[in-house]
Parts: sequence; structure tokens; C-alpha cells
Amino acid sequence: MRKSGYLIIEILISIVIFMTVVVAIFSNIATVMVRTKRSGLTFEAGLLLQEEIEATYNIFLRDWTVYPDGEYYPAINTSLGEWTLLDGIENNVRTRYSRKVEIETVCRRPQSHPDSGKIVDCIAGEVDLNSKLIRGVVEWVEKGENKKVETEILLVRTNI
Amino acid sequence: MINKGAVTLIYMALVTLISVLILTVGYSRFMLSLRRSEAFADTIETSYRAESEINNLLAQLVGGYLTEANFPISESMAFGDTRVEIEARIEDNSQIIDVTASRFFAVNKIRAVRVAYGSGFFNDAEIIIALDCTGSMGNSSGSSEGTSRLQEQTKAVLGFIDNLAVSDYAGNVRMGVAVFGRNSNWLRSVSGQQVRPDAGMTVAEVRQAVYSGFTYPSGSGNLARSRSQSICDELVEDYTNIGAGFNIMNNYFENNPPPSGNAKRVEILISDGEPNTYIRESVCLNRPTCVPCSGNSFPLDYLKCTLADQNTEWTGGRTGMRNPLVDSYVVTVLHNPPAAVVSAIQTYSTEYYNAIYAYQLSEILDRIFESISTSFARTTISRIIPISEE
Amino acid sequence: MNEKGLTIVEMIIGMTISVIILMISTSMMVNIFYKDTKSKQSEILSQVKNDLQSEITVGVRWAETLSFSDNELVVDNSIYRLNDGVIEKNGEAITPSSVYIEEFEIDDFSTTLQQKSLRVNIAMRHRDFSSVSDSLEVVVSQRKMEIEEQ
Repeated sequence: MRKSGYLIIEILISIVIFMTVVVAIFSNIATVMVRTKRSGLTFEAGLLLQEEIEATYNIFLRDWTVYPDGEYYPAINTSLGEWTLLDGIENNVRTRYSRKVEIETVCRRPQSHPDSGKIVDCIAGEVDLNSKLIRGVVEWVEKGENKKVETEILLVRTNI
Repeated sequence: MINKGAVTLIYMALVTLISVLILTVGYSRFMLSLRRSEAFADTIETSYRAESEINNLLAQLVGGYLTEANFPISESMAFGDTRVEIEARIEDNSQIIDVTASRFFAVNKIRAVRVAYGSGFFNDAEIIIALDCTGSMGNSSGSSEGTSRLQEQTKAVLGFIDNLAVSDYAGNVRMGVAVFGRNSNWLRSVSGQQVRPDAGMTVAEVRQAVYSGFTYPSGSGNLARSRSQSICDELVEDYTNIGAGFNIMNNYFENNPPPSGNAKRVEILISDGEPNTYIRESVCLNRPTCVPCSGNSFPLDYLKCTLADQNTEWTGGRTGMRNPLVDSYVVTVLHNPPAAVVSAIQTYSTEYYNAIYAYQLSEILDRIFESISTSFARTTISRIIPISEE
Repeated sequence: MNEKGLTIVEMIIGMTISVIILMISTSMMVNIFYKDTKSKQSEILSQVKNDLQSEITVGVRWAETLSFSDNELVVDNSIYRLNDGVIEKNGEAITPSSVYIEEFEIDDFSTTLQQKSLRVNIAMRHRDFSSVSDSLEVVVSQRKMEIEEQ
């Protein structure tokens, strides 16, 4: 009779130890998962984000002075076979995403200031014609949750 | 006869081992795809961050916010989970800037090498401005003061000449002013002299010629409102032939050697319209491979031919007439610039500006002036493969 | 006598029950946390996409010389060519043999003549499970590496 008792106890102990190990491992996964919230759709969103930043980079190589601050999205001008920026936000990209690039003027502390050149709000500084800030955002809805990826790049004028 | 304690231990070990093995299989596939998407996100962040930081430094150097006195630079900063390190130093006469951006899954390192020559590089400058003398310049400029486009053009040009007069170039700049409509011609001073760069006129004399040609009555304080009130009527016919403006300037540069080897040569053209005509010209250029721009049926083609430089093809097998060392700045005053014209000008000019309203011309000419007068430098940017430190 | 030892039968029963409980609970765990389990084949395609994306992006972005034609991309000294369903870099395969690359198409939408802006389209499927397919579209612009200020 006692032998059977021990056997059950042993099983119980095993399970307890097992659960301890499992909890230790999975608490790690849970932390990572909660922090990242990534999915298979994120790769495609990343590609769309890269596309809009890369297109904007190329456009600004030639058309540095053409686009005032605002929201745009890249499109291909089919008759000229080249990238161009159109006003506004692009919706229904690959049916589920929306994206835009924001073009923003860069202002710096003037040369007379001790922090000469530091990027500040335009109220506090002067416009730097040789810099432009490009911010790219791609958004989508996944399982009821709003998701987005974004990045920004500061461009310097290259046809000075 | 095994000890119960030992058996329990064996159970524990086996249970743990088997559970870990089973978990690893499912876990690893999950972690692999997680790592892959993390890595992609990280590479996007680090590469654009590194480029941004290099560009930020270059913009400050070009704009004069940072000078060699600020070197060497050694900075570390963090943007969220991205760590950035900047190292900048002077070696020989080069400014070397290294930026490294790193995140958990990606590292990016970019280097820029900038060699500055300083503004003493050129001693002379030749600048020609071509002004629009068509009838449409009498239309409203869009400003609240009710000025016409011709008036704003005159204001902008006088402002440009005034900037020139107080700059380092004032003593050794040669200016020319041309006008165009259906054909092109040089502006004339009151004494009848053509305002060409080789006419030997001072900046003040050029200003006086513009002033007397574009005020009504001539020499009074009132800017001429339209073509008929200005000297335009005497010099060129109406109709818009933008190519003629480029033609007269490039013809001059081609047929007249620069005052010195280091002379900076600049042409600026202002127009409010679309090219609707061209002109047959038989004048060829003084060089062995002469490619006249005549014989084109389309005004836009004539524009392309006269604006593009000699190293650039504007259509199959034909290069332009402009000397590549001449910088060409084009300013249009168009509310809705037609895409083909904009594209042609953007592609073949050095720099293109569009003013939606003519009153923005003054600001644009200020920018052009600034663009011309900053010092000369060359920057080389490259990506460096980071070497693992492990 | 009851203190000493277990019979083999007891050991086996104990281990069996433990392992069964284990397997049930771990598969439940894995399913909970990895609901988006893709098939192994589409995992392979995802990995290929990732690898190609980074190879092309870094190569084109910082290329000093760049040219392309049908199914071929030349970045400095590297020639990427589609050959019989496999993408080769200077003759050596950079995609696995289990993946069949159907398309490797390149377009240039640059606004300037000196720097290119390429859009690369790659379509692929698993060789053995041809219904498993995927595609990749990468846009990357050649950086202007020489800047003249005048």
C-alpha cells in the first residue's frame, strides 16, 4: 500500500518541478512577446516603409526645393517613368495598409548661439535650407489592434 | 534495489530533460521568426539613423554652423534602443566623420570625408540673368500689393544685384542681363550699350541699366507694369521662347573665354510661361563638334537642347549646348507648372525653383545668391562594414 | 521490504504517466504562444525573402557602379543572376535548392541619371510543395556618394 502512495507522490513532485521549469522558461517568452507584438505582416509593412523612404530620398536628389512641408505618399509617374510625391495619405496599400511620408523643415540655432547648429523648434531657430526631415509611417489593423511601423531620416542637400 | 530518493531524482532529471527538449523544438521556430522580424526592423532603424547623423553633421558643416574649430568630435547618444557613436577628426586637410548606429540585431557604420577648398578658390565670377519680357508678365503677381509679375521680377533682380554689390565678389564680378520673348537680346543701358559681361560695366552701372529699362517713365521711381511700359518692347518680340533665353547666355559663354581659369560662370533665367515657340538659328558654336539647336519642331525640345549641357543627352544621340562648367539656375513663376516642362528643367538645369506667385521671386533669388557664394568642397560618403569586436 | 526499491513496472508506469502529461501540457503551451504557426515550407520562403531583402538593399544602396538587365543585377563586382530557379551571386547560389525562384525583375524609377532607384520584384515557390508561394518587392535607391559644394 505504501508503495502506491509513494508513486503518486513522485508523480506529483515531478509535475510541480516541471511546472516550475516551464514557468521560468515561458515568463521569458511572455516578456518578449508583450514587448514586441510582431507578426508576419510586419515584414511587409517594413518593406512598404523602406519603399517610401527610398523613393523620397531619390526624389529629393533632384527636387530638393519642390515640396513644401506636409504629408505625401510616393507614386510612380508612369509617363515619365520616375518617382514622384503626391499630396496626402495613401490608403488601401496591398489592401490593408495606409502610409505617408511627412516632410518637415529643419531649423537650427543660429551661428551666433553657443549651441550653433543644434536642431530646435522653428520658433527658436532659423531655417536650414540644406536639411530636411523625412518621417515615414505605415499603419494597419491586425486582429482588432492598430499597429504601425515608422522611421525617420534627415537628408542633406546634395546638389549644392 | 534502488533507493527511493535516487529514483525521485532520476524522475526529476528525466522529466526536466524531456520537457526542455519538446519545448525547444516549438520554441525555436517561434524565436526564429521573431528574430527575423526584429532583425529587419533593427536594420531599418540603424541604417537610417546612421545616415541621418552623418547628414546632420554635413549640413552643419556646409551651413557654417560647425567649423574645423569644433573638431575633433566624439559623441555618444541614444535614440530609444538605438545607440549612436560619432567620431570626427581632421586628417591632412580632410574632415573625416564616422557614425556608428547599433541596435540589438543590427549595426551600421558610415563614413564621410569632406575636403574643403575655401572661398578663395575662385577669383572671378561671370553672371548673366535672362529676364522674361513677354506680355503675360503684365499679369498679377499674386501679391496683396497688386503688383504685376514684371514688377516683382524687377524687384527681385535689383535685390540680387544689391546683394552682389556688398559681397566678396563685387570687385571682380562681370554681369550681363538679357531679355527674351519670341527672340532674345541683350539689355541696353541708357547710353545704348549692351549689358554683356564683357562690356566692362560695374555692378552699379548694371543696376542702373536695369533700373532705367524697367521703370516707367524711365528712371522714375515707378516700376514698369508691363512689357509696353518697359524697354522690353524695343528689344524683343512677344511670345514665349524660353530656349532663346538660354541660347543667348550659352552662346556668350561658349564664344567668349572666361576672364580667368578659376572664374565661376552662372546663368539665371526667370520666366512665367510655358515655351510656345522656338527660333531657327543658324549660329553655331565655336567648337569642333558643333551641334546647333535649330531645326527642332517643338518649343520644349528647343528648351531642352539649349539648357542641357554638353555631356548630357536630351534625346537620342543629341547633347545640349551648355558648357558643363556653367551653373544654370532656372526660376519659373507658374501656379500649376506643366509636368513635362518642370521635368525638363529639373533634369537639365543645375537648380530649379518654382514660385507659385511672382512675389516669391525675391526670396528665391536670395537663395540662389547664397547658393552661388558659399565655399567649395567635395564630400565622399561610404558605408563601412563593421568589424565584430568579439 | 516496502522501503526498498521499486519494481520495474512501477517505474515504467510512473515515467509513462509523467511523459504523457508532459506532452499534453507542452503542446498546449506551444499552441497558445505560437498560434500563427506557419508551415515549415512557408517559413523557408520567409527566410529567403529576408536574406534577399538585406542583400539587395545594402548592395544597391551603397553601390559605386550599378547596372541591370533582364534577370540580372550588377552591383560593383557582384553579379546577381537568376539561373534555373536559383539566384546566383557570381555563380554561387544564394538561395536554397528547396526554393524555386520564378521571377527576378528589376525596374529603375530614378529621377536622376547619376543615381538609380530600383524596384526589384522576386516571385518564388517551394520546389516540392508548389502551392506554397511568396513574393518580395524591394525598393532601394543608390546613394549619392560624391557631393560637390560650389
